[in-house]
Amino acid sequence: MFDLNVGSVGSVSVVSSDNGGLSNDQIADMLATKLIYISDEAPEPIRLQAEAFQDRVRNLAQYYIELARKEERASICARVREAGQHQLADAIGRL
Amino acid sequence: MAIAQAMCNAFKKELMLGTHNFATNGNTFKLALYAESSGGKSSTTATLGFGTTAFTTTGEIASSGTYATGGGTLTKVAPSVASSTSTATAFTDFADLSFTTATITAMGALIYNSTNSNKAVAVLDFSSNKTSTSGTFTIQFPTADASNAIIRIA
Repeated sequence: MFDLNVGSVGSVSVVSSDNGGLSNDQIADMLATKLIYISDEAPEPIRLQAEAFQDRVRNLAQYYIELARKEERASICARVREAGQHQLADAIGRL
Repeated sequence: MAIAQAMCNAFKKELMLGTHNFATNGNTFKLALYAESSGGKSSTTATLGFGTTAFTTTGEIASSGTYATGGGTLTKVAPSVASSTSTATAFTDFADLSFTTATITAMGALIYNSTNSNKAVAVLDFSSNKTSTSGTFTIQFPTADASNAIIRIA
């Protein structure tokens, strides 16, 4: 007899924000949890080590996400200023 | 429970009938969001689970921001099998899906095949109401591997 053990559905998570987009922390957390999966059943020493590594990845991701957003804002500011919209450029620069 | 996480029974049968094609150039799959406790449009509440056979508007949330009735189109991760040398788990997954500038309260979701009569694939239970107010509502799918992917056949 051929016994096919069909079908599992994985778990999704929902990340949401109010009055604007997701924060750097939320995006970094999404990246870290997707990149490094830590099983609840992993032996404690391994789990602790994996969690420490996940924290480092999260912090590094947070830094570069912040940098990417800052650089993009700088590029947008430059284009807006070139178009003569100085006040708008200043407002974007203050974000 | 009105929304219960499950791989739909009809979907299991339809896999054997070749109804669903998860290849990257295959069918189009969508994800619709649902509310409980009369939170859906027209004050309807969702009842979704293993017995769901197709997309329904009952209990679906109202359009808001980039969320439009019927939900968003999912980006497929091509089906894969973990190993060819031993018994292994085949899996497929989707990329994360975001709705922006949206005011949403949702308790769960339905993945369905919009290419083939909106046939149901799986019900996702968020466990509690998830909300965004004029913000971003992101559904993060699990890692595409044999242990975590959204749809796995062992």
